[in-house]
Amino acid sequence: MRVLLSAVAVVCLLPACAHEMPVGSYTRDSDTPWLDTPAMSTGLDRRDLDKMFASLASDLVGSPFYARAGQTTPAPTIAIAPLANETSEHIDTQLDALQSKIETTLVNHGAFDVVSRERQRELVHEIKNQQQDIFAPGEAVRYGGLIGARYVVVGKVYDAAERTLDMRRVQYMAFLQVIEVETGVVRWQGETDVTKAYVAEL
Amino acid sequence: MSPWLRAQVGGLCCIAMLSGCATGAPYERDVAATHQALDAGQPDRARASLEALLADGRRDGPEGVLLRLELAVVALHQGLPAVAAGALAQADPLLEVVDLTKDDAGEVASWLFADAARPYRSPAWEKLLVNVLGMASRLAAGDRRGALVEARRFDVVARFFGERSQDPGRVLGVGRLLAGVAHEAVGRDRAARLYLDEARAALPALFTDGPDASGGELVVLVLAGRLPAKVAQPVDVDTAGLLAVQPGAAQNLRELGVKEVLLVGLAADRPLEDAAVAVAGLPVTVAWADLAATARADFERVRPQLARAAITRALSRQTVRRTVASADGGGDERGGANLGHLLGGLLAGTMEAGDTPDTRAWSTLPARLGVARLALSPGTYDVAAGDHLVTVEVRAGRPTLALLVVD
Repeated sequence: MRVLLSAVAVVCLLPACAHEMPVGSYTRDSDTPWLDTPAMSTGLDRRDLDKMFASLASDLVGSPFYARAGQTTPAPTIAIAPLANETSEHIDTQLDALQSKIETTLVNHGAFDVVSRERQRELVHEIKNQQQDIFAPGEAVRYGGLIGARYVVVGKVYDAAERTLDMRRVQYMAFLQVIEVETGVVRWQGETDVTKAYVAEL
Repeated sequence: MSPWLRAQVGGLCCIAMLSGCATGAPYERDVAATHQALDAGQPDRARASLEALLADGRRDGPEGVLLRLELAVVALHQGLPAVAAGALAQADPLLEVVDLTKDDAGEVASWLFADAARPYRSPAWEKLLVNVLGMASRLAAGDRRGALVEARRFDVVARFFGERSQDPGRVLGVGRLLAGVAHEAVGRDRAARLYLDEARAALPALFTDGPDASGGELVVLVLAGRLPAKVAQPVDVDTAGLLAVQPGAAQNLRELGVKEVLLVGLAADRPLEDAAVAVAGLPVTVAWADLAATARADFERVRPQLARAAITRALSRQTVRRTVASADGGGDERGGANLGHLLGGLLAGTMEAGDTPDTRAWSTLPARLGVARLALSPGTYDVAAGDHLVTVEVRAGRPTLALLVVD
């Protein structure tokens, strides 16, 4: 009899399962230190961008090209073209952030006069209106020339994306170049990589 | 009652309770309002009904992915390709996570409680369509770089399914054509040629006279009709046994007093509006991918397993009914036996009610996907499919995509 009554109680409880209430609460990184640690997707997050930026920026700032530019008076002008997304992920916003981080370094180190993004935006818009691909070879150099810069920073991020039964892996490879607009010569080049994956069972 | 029986009844109670938690209302009921609105030619109302479902806490559930996919097609009905592209981009990685995640508990639950107890997994052709429609939406919205990303995503998925010899019909051909167009759109003609050569093998009718390189190119994509819906159908036990390829199953069910089993089937094909395509009033050749036939073939492939699972669930319910009814039947109190029968019926009834038929599918997908490709002089053209008309501007040296949705 006791069992039967328990079972009746279980049956009575069943409707409670019908509506699952969401549980959880909002938080911030200063309150929850691990918040920025886990990978949430195969896209690029802040940790990935910081890693890529740290590698590229230290290479650039430590290069002989950069040291020479720092000794030039007046400081040479430099423009930063939008970074090309050549990957299988929609990461354009993240690449814009990476571009901004590179710009911040160049502005704050003072070795170059950096052409403002606002001035460049109109030109990018114009090039797109002309149905030209801003990321096409040679187009970035033309872009730098039009903007009146001595150097232009161009970059591309590629990926090798693969899928198996239990994993999707995206290997990102980022390349950054500083091109002298007048000659088209590459004065500096750096590269870095990051791998992201979704694994069925780690 | 013996400790063994007590444990048995306790276990069965847990199963019944879990069955109640595992499932909800059938998916077809959720999206019925969306279908009705589309049938009435009111895509705005269809979108509002989907957004209401998403806001109703389904956003993070397994159906949330499907609802986003439905939203994408409805946005194409509305003529809002950028909205469609956004919804597809949200759904795509979520689908992949579900697909890659091992779900042993869900597999067990599908045999014990309901097929709908496990997260929805898209078949190969549906996954490819996420990127095919992603490319089309972005090209139609003028997002050429985004279309290129979708083309690469399509490539990864197509390679994966190619290696596993899964045949998604002509979806691959349409996808490769659009991938070629996405590459042409940013001036990557060499890569475009590779994709177009692959598309030629699947859709030879579109490549009889290649586009004039000095002029413009128009690609027309037509989404026509809607896939046959998945519906729950009561089926007599003999038919269920045949569908499950389990001849003994009907006998077992009959012995337990079961006459019918609830199975999921595909509804009849919906009548299709004439979707003949004309550009500037002249008819053009269209290559059609018959998605309804692909869906039907795919469903036939999994139907025996679905039937076997449904039969197993029916048998489980009857076992619960009998075990609980007999648990206290031998007790001293006469009331115990009656209560046992009552409770057995209650538990079996609860499990039956929880046995939600798995009618989930990307239900707003078109029954047919048509593609046409023409070399045209630059200029403005009217593109018609059935009664639907769009006006597009064809420019020199770059392809233009016209996207039409025909009910």
